[in-house]
Amino acid sequence: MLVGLIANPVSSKDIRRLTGLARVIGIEEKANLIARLLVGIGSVNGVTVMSVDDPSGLVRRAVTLAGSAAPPVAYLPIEVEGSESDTRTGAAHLAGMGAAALVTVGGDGTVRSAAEGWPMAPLVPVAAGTNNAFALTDEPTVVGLATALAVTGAGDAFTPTTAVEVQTAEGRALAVIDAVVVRDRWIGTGAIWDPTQLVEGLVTSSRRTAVGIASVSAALGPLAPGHARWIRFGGEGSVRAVFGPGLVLDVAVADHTDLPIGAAVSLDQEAGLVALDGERRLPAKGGTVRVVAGPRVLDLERAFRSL
Amino acid sequence: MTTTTERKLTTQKAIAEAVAIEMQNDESVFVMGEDVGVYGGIFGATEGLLAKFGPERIIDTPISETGFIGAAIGAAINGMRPVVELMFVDFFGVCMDQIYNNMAKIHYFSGGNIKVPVVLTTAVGGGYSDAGQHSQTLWGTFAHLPGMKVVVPSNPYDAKGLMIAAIRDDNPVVYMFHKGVLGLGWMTNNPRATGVVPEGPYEVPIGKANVVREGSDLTIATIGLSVHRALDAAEVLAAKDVSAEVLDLRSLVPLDRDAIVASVKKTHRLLVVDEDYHSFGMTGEVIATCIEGAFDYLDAPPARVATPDIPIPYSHPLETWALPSVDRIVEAGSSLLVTR
Amino acid sequence: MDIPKEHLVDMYETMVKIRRFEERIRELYFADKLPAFDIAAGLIPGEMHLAAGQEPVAVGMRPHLKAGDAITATHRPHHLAIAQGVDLNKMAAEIFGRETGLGRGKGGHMHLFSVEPNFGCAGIIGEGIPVAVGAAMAFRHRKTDNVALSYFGEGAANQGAFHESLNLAALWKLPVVFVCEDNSYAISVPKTASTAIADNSDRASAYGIPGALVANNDPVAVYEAMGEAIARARRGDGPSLIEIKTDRLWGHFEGDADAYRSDEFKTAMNEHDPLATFGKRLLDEAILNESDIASIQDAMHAEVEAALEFAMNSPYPAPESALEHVFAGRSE
Repeated sequence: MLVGLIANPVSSKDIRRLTGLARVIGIEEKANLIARLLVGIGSVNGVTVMSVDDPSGLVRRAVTLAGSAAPPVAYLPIEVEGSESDTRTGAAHLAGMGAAALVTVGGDGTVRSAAEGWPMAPLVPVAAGTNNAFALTDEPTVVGLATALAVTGAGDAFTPTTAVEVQTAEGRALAVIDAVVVRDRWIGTGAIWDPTQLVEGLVTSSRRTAVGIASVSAALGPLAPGHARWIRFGGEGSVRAVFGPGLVLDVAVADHTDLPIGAAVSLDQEAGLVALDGERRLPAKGGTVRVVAGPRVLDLERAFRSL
Repeated sequence: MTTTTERKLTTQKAIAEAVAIEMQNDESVFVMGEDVGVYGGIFGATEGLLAKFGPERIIDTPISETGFIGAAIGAAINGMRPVVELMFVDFFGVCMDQIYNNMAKIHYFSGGNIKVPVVLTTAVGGGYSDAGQHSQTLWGTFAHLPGMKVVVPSNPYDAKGLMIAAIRDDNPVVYMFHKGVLGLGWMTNNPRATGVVPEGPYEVPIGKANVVREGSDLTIATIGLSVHRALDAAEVLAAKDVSAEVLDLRSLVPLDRDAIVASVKKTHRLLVVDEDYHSFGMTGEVIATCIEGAFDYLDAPPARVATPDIPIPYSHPLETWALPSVDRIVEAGSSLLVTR
Repeated sequence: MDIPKEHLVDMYETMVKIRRFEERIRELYFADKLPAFDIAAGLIPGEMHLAAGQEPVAVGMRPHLKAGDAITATHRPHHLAIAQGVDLNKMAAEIFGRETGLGRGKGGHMHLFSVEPNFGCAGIIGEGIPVAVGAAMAFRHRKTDNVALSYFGEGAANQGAFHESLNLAALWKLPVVFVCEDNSYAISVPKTASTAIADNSDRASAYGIPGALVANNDPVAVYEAMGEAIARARRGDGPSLIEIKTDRLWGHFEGDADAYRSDEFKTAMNEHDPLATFGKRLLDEAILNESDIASIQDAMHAEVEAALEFAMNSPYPAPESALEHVFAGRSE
């Protein structure tokens, strides 16, 4: 069985190292995470890994670290640019090759790019980012083993999620956790650390353990599966959220509504940007956001039961 | 009770006193280096200062010479007057760029607009079996490179006066103190390492040599511990009816060329004694100065006694043989007088 | 972050000024060295290292500076000096070796020193990094809230001085921001062939300080990151390391055949010229219109031209003046 692997060398390095207590996850530590993941995968017969060959040599380093415990690892014969388009392109290729799972190593942005390339991917998102609202923060060796069991075992160990499709003049994009309009007109470093910049948007997660805008949503109450929450920020009310690592903030929320898959909202904005999964990205003007079915995510418990 | 004029200090204590006086009077003076604080300096140059001035002004550094000497430069450019210690001059290899390319040149590069008032103190000299990487003097190397003053006191009085002058100088000054002149209790006893040192501030001018013993038959020009050797040799020579004038150069940059020439014009013979390496150094420079200024006054070719061009050896008989000794000075001095 | 319009416009103007200065210096540098290149000949003799493409690194910090802040830079200093507001006339005159230059002709292009603003640069890789640490020590001692900014390339991050300086600044919690301008090449050696890890910002944690990566050669991204880092240092929270991916559009030095970078690499780089990109964004955002852009270009070009005129019309220093300014006289 084929497992796809995409590792992002630049996750967990941006300005949020200065605006809060986000830590750097350096190349060595990421290589170590991936090595542990590979050991987990390699412990089950019959699984091979196909990876994007990142220009930092991250995966290659991990393969060296894992040594003989690693599964067979091959690299996609695609040109890598050293940008997030590599994740998208890689994911699309892996979809075409019929990979049974797609492991990403990075932050929420990495997951997002992968999902854009393969919208219904069976994802195994290993957390190596800043907020990790979407990813699995469990020990990578365990995650690797679970992945291998899931792809070689019976049953479906993947849980469907909800995502947000964003349509603007610049084209279509996908967000796996949130698509939120921010006041800022400049992409800059991309990151968001100031909740007063938030205007309104859709959030697909209400996990209490999530960090970021999802934490704001969680504070407003549980969210039914197959739904996303429309939130309008500002106003008189406020909720307490873990906005980032080391950042517990009161976020002003005016009102919110839960919307099912298929619902769409026009962004009635003259200015500002749409931030996708916590990164400023597209001009908001004339944009629409729609609740859609998202990628599937590995459920670790179910994976172990599929033995 | 001792009066002010009779108070005696070792060279080491004189240096520490000089730094203390300047730190008292000028808030921008501070000290930085390895073991300068709690330990008081490996050779005692900053003894007692931490207790007097506290850790903000007496700073113990990590082993990062490039880092902290560069930092001294940055602080000096920005209004401070650092006294930064390079523990042994032999260590200059790890940080020389900051010293000769940066500290020594910024004033010039800036057309005189920026001053770099750094005093770089460092311990020099051998004779106690500390071997090739902890026994060098190297003032020839520092003096050769433009942009930094170089002073080498031989006695307590000069040590204090030159330190005060160095701190007050707006230029980088490399202050090289020979371990053998410090009067340290754990080194071979040296009576010339203790002397009368007035209390209170005073300066010894940088760039001025000192005739420490007058004579008429030959000039022995030298510096550092070799001044003590030369003075001892002069006594031996005197018993042989040779009157030697000992000229303590005190500074190599600026070099008191006038004093060298004046002395040779009087004695007509020159012997240069240098604990630094023989070739391409101080002895050559002093002899060239003498030839340029007093050629017609010479009754004999100038001579020199220096450490040969070898790494300073460890074993006592080897090291004693290599470094300038009283015997070698007496012998060389005597040979100069053969023509009389 | 809400960026005041004045900051955006000022950053753009400064980028235009820097680019124009570098272009004109390049023209004048070659003007009388050809046909057979003689490095010693002409109006601007010696080596020349220009920063076209690296403007965002410089202008992004500019709005956050206050009087007295110190900058130490490298052999490729012009963009930083211009961004900090070093006197352009005197800077040009120094590059032309004239008596009216910042150093009276004694330093030249790699050794530009200014008292106000507080700017210095060094010709030895890594040499200025510890000096910034020292400036920060002085600021702390004098109880000002000034900061020291140390600029160096990704090649310098392998020099001992870099490591010693980060350790010292972290140990003593000094107000320094260390900025690594990563243009991917140290002369001809790419970072992948010189550095064991992919990102120098990772190295910050080895010294217990925060490190952040600015992955785009974008003045607004630099503005945001430097704003945070400078504010952090000013309020006494200590040093940080900012790594900025930027582009050196031309060769390492003028005259460099630049054969070690592929044509595809260079084409791609030029397609992302930050000056063009930022200008277009300002137009799209209606911060500036076409007529504003034209006026800015006219104004900046005129300022650069005036500085070059001043330089070229200035006298050379008298030859014997080479002996002066080795040592300072005694003050008071």
